[in-house]
Amino acid sequence: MTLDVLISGVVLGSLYAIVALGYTMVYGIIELINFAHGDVFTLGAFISIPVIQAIISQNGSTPTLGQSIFAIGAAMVVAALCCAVVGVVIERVAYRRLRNAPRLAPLITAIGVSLIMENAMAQWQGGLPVFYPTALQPSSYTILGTTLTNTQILVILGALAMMLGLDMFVNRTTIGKAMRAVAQDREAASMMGINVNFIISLTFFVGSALAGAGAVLYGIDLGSLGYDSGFTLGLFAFTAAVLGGIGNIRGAMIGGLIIGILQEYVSGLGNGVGTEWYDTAIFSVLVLILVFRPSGILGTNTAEKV
Amino acid sequence: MTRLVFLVLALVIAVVWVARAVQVGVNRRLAGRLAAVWRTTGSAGGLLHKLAGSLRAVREVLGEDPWLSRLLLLLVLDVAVAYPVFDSSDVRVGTADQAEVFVLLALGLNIVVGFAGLLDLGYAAFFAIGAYTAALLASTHFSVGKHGSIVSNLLLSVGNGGIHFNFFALIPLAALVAAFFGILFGAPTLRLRGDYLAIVTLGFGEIVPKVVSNLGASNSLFLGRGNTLPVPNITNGVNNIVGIDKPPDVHIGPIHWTFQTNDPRPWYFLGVIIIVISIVMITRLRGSRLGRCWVAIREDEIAAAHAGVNITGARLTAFALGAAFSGFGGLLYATQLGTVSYDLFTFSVSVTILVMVILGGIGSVPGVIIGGIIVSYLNQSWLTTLSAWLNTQGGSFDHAWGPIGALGAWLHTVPLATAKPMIFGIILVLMMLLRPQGLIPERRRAREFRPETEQEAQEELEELYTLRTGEI
Amino acid sequence: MAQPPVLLETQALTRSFGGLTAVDNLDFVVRKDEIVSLIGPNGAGKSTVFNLISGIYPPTAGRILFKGVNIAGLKPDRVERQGIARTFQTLRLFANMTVLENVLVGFHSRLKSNVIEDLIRPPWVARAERDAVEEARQLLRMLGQRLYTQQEFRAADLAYADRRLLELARAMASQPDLLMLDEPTAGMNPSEAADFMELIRRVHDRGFTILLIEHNLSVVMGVSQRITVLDYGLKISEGTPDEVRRDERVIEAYLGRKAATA
Repeated sequence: MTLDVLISGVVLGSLYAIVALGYTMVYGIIELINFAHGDVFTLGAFISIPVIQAIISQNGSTPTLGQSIFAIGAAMVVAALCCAVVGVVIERVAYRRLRNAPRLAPLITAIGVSLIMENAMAQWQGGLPVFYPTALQPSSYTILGTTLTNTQILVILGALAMMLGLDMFVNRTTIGKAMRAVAQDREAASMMGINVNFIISLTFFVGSALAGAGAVLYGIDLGSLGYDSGFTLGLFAFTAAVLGGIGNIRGAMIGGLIIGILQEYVSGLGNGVGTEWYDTAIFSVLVLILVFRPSGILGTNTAEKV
Repeated sequence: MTRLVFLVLALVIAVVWVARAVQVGVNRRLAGRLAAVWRTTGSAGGLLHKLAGSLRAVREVLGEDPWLSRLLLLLVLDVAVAYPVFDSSDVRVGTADQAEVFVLLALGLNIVVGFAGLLDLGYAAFFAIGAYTAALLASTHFSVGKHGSIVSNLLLSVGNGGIHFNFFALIPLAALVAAFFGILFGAPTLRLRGDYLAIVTLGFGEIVPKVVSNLGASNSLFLGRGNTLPVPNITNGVNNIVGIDKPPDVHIGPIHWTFQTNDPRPWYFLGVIIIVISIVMITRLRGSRLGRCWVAIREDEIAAAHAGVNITGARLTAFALGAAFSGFGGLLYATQLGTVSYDLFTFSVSVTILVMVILGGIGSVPGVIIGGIIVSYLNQSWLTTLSAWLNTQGGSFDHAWGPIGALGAWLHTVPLATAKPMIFGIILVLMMLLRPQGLIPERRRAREFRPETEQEAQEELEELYTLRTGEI
Repeated sequence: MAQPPVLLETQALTRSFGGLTAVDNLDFVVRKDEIVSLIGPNGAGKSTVFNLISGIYPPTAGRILFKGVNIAGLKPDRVERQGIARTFQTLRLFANMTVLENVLVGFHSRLKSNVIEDLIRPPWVARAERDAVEEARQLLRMLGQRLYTQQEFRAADLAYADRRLLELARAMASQPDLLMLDEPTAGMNPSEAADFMELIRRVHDRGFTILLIEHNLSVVMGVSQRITVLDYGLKISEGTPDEVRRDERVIEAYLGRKAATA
């Protein structure tokens, strides 16, 4: 594996990690695979497009660094807020009423919400991939004999900042502590005076906001996206979450990186033939983890609760 | 002549039914119940409640006598069999043929989702596996040897003209191959919590079409570091497999079925027979020892395990049985179409079948059949028709004033046919929120979905508490 | 007098949860055709012993010999097939199944049919099923006329005491070599509890070996042949009911605990 495969793997993996965080937080707290999460991510990318277009004219002129930073920052904030609201609304409308229903019910609504969102975005943006506006004048640096683009640096730094922020939020703040308490034992937390509904909404808020902000980085890095981009991405990100240990935030980060590197590695095999096989490889990883270490890399063994 | 036979039969059944109903006093009891329902006032006395109450009364009163339901079934069967005799449109009967395949698939998925309570989101994968089993083993695709046919008999012929299994020999084969793959993917996952299965099957459903398209001649497998191995042309990749064999002609007594022509009717009758056999088997399955296990597992896993039920085994069996039905459906579908392509079996197909089960009623055999018919027709013709109708209607007043004109303009272009996923998504969400038991609920499932009372919630809490303190 | 053969024997059975040792080096024996009781104050580790035997979780250390075979660590369904059935203190019925269906689930390991047979129901399977239904009805009748007449009721609709009876019926249905009852009289008043103990004696007379958990010593005095007393996971006394009742340590465990919580 060459260094540049590793680097592009880390870049992609950081994006997976951000999406995986949303899955793992929601699963950790209400044990639901939120199938709509990948689509919330796509929505974030679409919403951020006009924001960037409004700040940086797309007529071929070179944006200044200040413009770029402002545009990316604004796009991330807007996308994060919109996604957060959408995520909270989805939970309120589609999942909350089913919290005591048989396990099957919320899973099915999650699939339904995902279908609705994807088709709405297809109607809105069309069925073909959409180009993401230029937000950053491409440039590259040579470090240790390998080339790093400024986009790659942006994605890695952005993702790192988000993950560190989340980690601090969950581990250092009182609200973070309440979240962990609800994840561990909803009834007990409720008896200790924690507003469980609020904490669950907050989890959706934070997870969806991360997805929205991450989607901006995704758009800048990949340059285009389609209405269904989030679907496969969501599947991979969930694999990352399971690989790291579902419910475990740091695990999701590690899992995301591993999946990203694996994808880039397999894609590079066989003179490009590997690009036809990377999703099969990632899916095989999912099955293999479930067979050999269902608790994931960092998870404790709670896969089979009595 | 044939039409007359069906008509007379229907009439006879109807007369016998009425006689039986009067004999056991259904009319009196029903009149009493209906009167009671329509006299109710207050919050339970709304028109909708009265209608629902009436329906329930009819179902309950009729359900008291087994002979009445048996006769009714016979009547339904008579009408179902007679349908293509009365409908002269080959296109419409062809649509019905496809609906039959989907009803079969819905019945199979219902074993997994309805009986065992597991969510399978990659059901189309097994459909694809069945279809490709047919395509590979009953077509000219695989040419074996150089000189004419090597083996040739009723069951199977192999030679440079390809492998040709007899359709009826393929039935168990396609089911077995699909069940094998079901076990292969279910076994590692089903040891864990049920919802992991949802994601693994989703991935499986995504991967199978991909692998099928990759295993064509134009592709190569990598061996690492730039070395590749050309892939043998197993599935013909993106180029589809064409010319799949039709079933052999059937001539029994007055029945003459030829599958070689474009007449969709023999397919229809074959489908009815297959569905009836499936219904009988699935109904028996539900009442069997295994069927009881599935209910017990849904109710209380720990208690079921302590009664000796191997939970993973029971779930895996459900998953494999569902896969077998799907594989069988795939075989039927592939031979009907005469061709298969990898993109016929995407996630949207899995979702369509899931919608059939949810709409009709999880676990309910009649519900799933009705759901299968409705969604299949929605999918194949109704949505397109409705869309075209709405578009013309909208076009007639899109220049009208203000909001009405806006509504017209919207209707003029409303893309109902392309909004299928959204419509299915809305059905899934609304059903789960408002009527999780489905249109024709299964009795037990309806109770499971009923929101638990305050007291039950309290008991649950106490149970959790004692579990944690180690005092079960 | 030759003693009946040993059916169940635990050897140095230990289970800890984190730092807490819920069961500590426990040795005890159940012989065939006995009624043995495991008693102790709340939190003594009685239910943990049951959960270890029935396979809800594996022991941290020690062995559980059943008919001479070590069954420690087996999953619940495997334990059941070895011939051990149990009930639960908190009642685990299949609430939406009928009374009769609940009992039929108990027949699971005795009815043998494969998938194909379940799909086509050949005559021999249909006959076995009919026989099971008949036997289940007889079992219900033996446990009381009320349960028998309510056999088509949903389990959740039964009165509390009947639900306890139903759980007993389900456990008996598999004709286990060892029947483990976890505080079967919990939530009953003294006269109901006495009736239930009388019933347990009748069940015993039909050839069942019974291991009983009870919180209240007086309830099991009459029926038990031997009693093992646990406190804080340790065995503090063992013997006939009379011996146990006179044991200083038992009195202290019960009274001391009461004084502390009063």
